[in-house]
Amino acid sequence: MKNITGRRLNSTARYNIVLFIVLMFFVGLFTFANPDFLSWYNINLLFRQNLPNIIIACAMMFVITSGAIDLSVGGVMALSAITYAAICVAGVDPWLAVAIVAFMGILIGVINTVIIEVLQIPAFMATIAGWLIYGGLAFTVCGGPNPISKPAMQVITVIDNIKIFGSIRLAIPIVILIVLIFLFLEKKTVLGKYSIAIGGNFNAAYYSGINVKKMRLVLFILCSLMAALSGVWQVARLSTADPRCIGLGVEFAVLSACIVGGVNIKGGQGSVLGVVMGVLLLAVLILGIPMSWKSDIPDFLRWVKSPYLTQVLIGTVMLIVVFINYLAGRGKNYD
Amino acid sequence: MTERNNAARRSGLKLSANGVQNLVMFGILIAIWIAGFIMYPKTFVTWDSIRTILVASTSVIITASAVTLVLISGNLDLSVAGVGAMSGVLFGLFTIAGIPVWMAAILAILCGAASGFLNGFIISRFNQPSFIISLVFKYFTGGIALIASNGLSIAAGMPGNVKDIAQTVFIGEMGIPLPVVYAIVIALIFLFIQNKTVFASQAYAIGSNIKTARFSGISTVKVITAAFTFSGILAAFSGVIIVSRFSVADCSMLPGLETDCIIAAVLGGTDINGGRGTVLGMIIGALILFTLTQIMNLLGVKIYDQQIIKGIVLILGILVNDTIRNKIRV
Repeated sequence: MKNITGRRLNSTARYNIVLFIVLMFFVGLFTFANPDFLSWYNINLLFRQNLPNIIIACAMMFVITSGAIDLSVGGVMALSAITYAAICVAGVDPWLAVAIVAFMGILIGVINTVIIEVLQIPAFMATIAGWLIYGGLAFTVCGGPNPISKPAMQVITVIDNIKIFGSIRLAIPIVILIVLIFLFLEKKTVLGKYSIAIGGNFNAAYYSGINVKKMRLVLFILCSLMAALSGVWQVARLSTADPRCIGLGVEFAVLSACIVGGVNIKGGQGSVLGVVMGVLLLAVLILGIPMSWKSDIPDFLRWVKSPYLTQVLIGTVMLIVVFINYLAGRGKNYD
Repeated sequence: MTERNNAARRSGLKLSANGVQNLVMFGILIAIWIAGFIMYPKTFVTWDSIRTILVASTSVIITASAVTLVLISGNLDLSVAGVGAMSGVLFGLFTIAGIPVWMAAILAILCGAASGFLNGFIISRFNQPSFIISLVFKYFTGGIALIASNGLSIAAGMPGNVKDIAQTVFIGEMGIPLPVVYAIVIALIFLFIQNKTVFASQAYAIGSNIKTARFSGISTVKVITAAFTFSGILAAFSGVIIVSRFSVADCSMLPGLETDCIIAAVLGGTDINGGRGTVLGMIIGALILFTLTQIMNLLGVKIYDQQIIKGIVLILGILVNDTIRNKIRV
């Protein structure tokens, strides 16, 4: 038993080391191709754009590791952004509104868990339904497809604009703080061990006395809470609450980052550090490839600079990761 | 599976669980129709209204016919919307390039078939979770659609006879749109495949327990690859039909087709974990979904409020199906 546990952790650790080397390789490559890549402006941009993905991916890692999945995060993000804007416009203090939206995120997590655990609906279908319901509610609260953009709600843009030490935007310390909290949850509390246990073998976890429903509740609450806070962050960054674009495609972006970060989609394997590096690797590639081409590329290669390359790129990286895992025999115990 | 059904039917005592499930869902569909008829006695049960429902549900019925088989074999296909968009855009570009419309349609459908084949082959040969691989192909095909169309709607330069594929044929006074004919034909073909062929029984076996299926000599690679290839072909066909209907190729057409297909199949009693489900149930599920949409459109419910209703209907549908399954032992 101990041997198996030890080997599994080692495999995750090895994977993270490889991922870190690959990440550093690409950062080095893009910096070599275009020295502006490592400018503070660019680093700030990378973290400001990917803050939602990073913090949702950390929570999603726990959910997937425990053998469930949460596809409703995109809908939750849209709903929380619109709710935040709507209650700010209604005259609530913006900072109180953040607390209200966070509470709403917790409530949505509870609803998701009730649908999954009490009604016994598979997590995949339950959260697809949640995605439709919360995404639709976002438009209903907004009263139509037109974005809300009023001065009352733009007070919060200050957290995006604060600079510390002259050039670092607040996004970087926020990301580091939240990742540290999740690392603490993973390493120092039962959350990390129990979610791996539930995902690795549900029945074994259940009969060894783990309160599976309670763990599910905690994990889904974490996931929805992070999605709700990400919605508020998007309002802070874009200074407008648009139900059409906030949260669009986030669920699949986060999922692909989790896969790249070494999470086993069937449960039982995954680490916070790996997932964070997964998000960063995809972000670095998406940001770096168009930057590192000089303007004198031949015409037939013009599409390399196309912003639409992103999707193909994410797909390719995922496929490579899947095949590396296949060749390395990772996750074979859980098929 | 079929033998047991036949035995149950011959004894004349009870229906199979699938039969009861389909009957209940059909009853719900009829109830919705009666409700619609009571609310709108003049307009709801007319050929125009029925045609609107049928035309709206064609892409889901066509694609979900194959997606149901994929779900029965215990896999998910998230790539259908991307495949549809890719084939639609390629079809548009081919016709603009001067290739005859029928040829262009066949080429576009072949591209979809290739994507479905690769998708299924990687999943089954390397024993990878379908969720991830089909997500990869969603990104690939969606990306190709974006790059090929450059993110724009393609309409200029498309020849007029593009519309031929999805035109309306008249039988006497009644105009029947060709997409509806295609949907009926494809649904019948897949009803036959699901009920009468070895291929479908093997898919059921794989969905129930892939290891048992493998050890009893079923080639999982062949069956799963074939199921995914069908779904690629039919998704591509839906894309071609949409382009032909509107004479515009857009990279974001067929939004949410993958979730709609899964919702229609699940409403019809398909298990998301594989091993059970029927094409007939999927058709009833799709008709429930689009009849509700039609009623809500008549009531003036906004499109995003319809989304909320759809989510609630999905949860209720799964609950009804689960209750039937738990109560009935055949």
